[in-house]
Amino acid sequence: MNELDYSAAFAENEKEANLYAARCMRVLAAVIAVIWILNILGLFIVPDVIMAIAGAGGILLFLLPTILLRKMDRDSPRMKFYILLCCILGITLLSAALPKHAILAWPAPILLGSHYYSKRFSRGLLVVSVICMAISLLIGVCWGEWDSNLLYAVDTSGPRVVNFNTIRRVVLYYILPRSLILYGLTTVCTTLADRTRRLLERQVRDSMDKQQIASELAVATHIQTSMLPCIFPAFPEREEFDIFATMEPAKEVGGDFYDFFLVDDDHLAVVIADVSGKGVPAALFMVIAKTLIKDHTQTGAAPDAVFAKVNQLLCESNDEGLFVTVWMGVLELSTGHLSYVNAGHNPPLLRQAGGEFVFLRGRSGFVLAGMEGTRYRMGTLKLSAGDTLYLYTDGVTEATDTGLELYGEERLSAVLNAHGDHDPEPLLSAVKADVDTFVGAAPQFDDITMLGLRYYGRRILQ
Amino acid sequence: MTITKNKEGTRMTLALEGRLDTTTAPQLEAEVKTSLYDVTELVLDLEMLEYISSAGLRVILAAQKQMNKQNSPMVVMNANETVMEVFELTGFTDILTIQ
Repeated sequence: MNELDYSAAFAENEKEANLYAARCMRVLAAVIAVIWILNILGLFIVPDVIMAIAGAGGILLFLLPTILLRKMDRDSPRMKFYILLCCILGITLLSAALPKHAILAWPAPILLGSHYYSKRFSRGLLVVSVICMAISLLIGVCWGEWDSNLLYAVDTSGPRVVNFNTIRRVVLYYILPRSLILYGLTTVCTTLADRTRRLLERQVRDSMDKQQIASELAVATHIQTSMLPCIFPAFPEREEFDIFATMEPAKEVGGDFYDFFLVDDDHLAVVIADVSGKGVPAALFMVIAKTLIKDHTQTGAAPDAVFAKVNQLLCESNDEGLFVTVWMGVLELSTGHLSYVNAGHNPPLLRQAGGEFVFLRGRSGFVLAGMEGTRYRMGTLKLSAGDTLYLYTDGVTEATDTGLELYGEERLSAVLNAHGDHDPEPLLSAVKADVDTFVGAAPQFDDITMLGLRYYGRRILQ
Repeated sequence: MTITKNKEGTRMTLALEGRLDTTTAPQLEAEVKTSLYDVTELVLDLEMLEYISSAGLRVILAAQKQMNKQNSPMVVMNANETVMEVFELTGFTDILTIQ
């Protein structure tokens, strides 16, 4: 793991911690202001001069970090030292003037310091705090508000007398035990800082791992999309047909695919398929299935023989029990003769020129990779000039709206018929737009794949 | 989805209720993987099954294959119209015993 990666996260944390510390200190400044006002109103009985020094100095020092963050380079690594120094000095001043109550404020710098997730920093704060506390208490004994808690350390019955013995007892009974308590508190804070530091490091590691997976998935998406023919017009030199197809995966990588290719100069193959399941396993399976189908079709074998062979090959190495539904048609461009096989796929729709789209139902064969030895039946059709074939996956008919209602075959044939005379590209856009409107804000569950083929026949061939 | 398991001796009935799709199929898959080994007759009661996706079909196929391997029958019962349509569309009617 690269150290630099952590340091970015810690630098970010430090900036946040600076802002939080400044905010806490603004609250402390407000608290002092309230105390000062209550003292002026006579509720507290601190001498005015002492209160004025403690109040003005404390408020100024506690507001200083906020000003520093505005005026100076707030990203400076030294900023945290300035801020915590202001905090300690502010408390030192308060503690010198009002030792009795300000003693409670000493944990503040150490607590604020634990936001920086650094043991060294917390320990440094402890040392500085202890020194400043000792100084402030000694000043307090000499000039501050007389602390009646020091009954055993000093004699508060008469006028204030400070001699070596007083100092010795203040150190022994007063500074030492409180320093020890601060030490104990620091231990709590460093443990907390340490644990949080490790959590932050783990979070950085996790998010880096995640990022790596995401970027690998992005590459996979790219590989998968680039496997599908996606340059349109696909065959600008061929005037017998027009073809268009789209695939929109629900996840980064999907199990749907379409394919089309010329088997020879007179035969065009079109394929649409849907692998069971989603994500990476389905995508890998899709790659194998697509490659096998194309390879075997290009030998010139009939679609039913191709499916029987590909099924056999897919069954041989399929421990995950995945399968794929495929519809494939091979069109003889000179005659319009179409032979097709359906391995458990949704029935395509065919529109004869000037007519309506109708489903090409008929008994479907079993899915590919489902069972060894499956045989497939081939159907035949004759396309005439102007006929349109529309292939799709169940991502279209099973697109679901927020009320869990399915888009369904009826809506599909309705929208197709509404745009019946369109070329493949605008036809597919119209279907997509209609599905999108139906689905609304509901999430996309399944890949949405479509292929449109329009046959012009010999009309333009001449 | 809820799966209600009922076992009498070595005859097991799994009644499925709700939607069998990508999110719920693993539930049934776990059941199929762990409890079929000593079953000599498996009945899938789909009366309350509203919807089945390809991920669901995959698990049903896995169950059928497992039962074939054990030379034991598996019967699919009471599938509603929607589910039945999916079985027909995908050719599952050819390999399942549907009642």
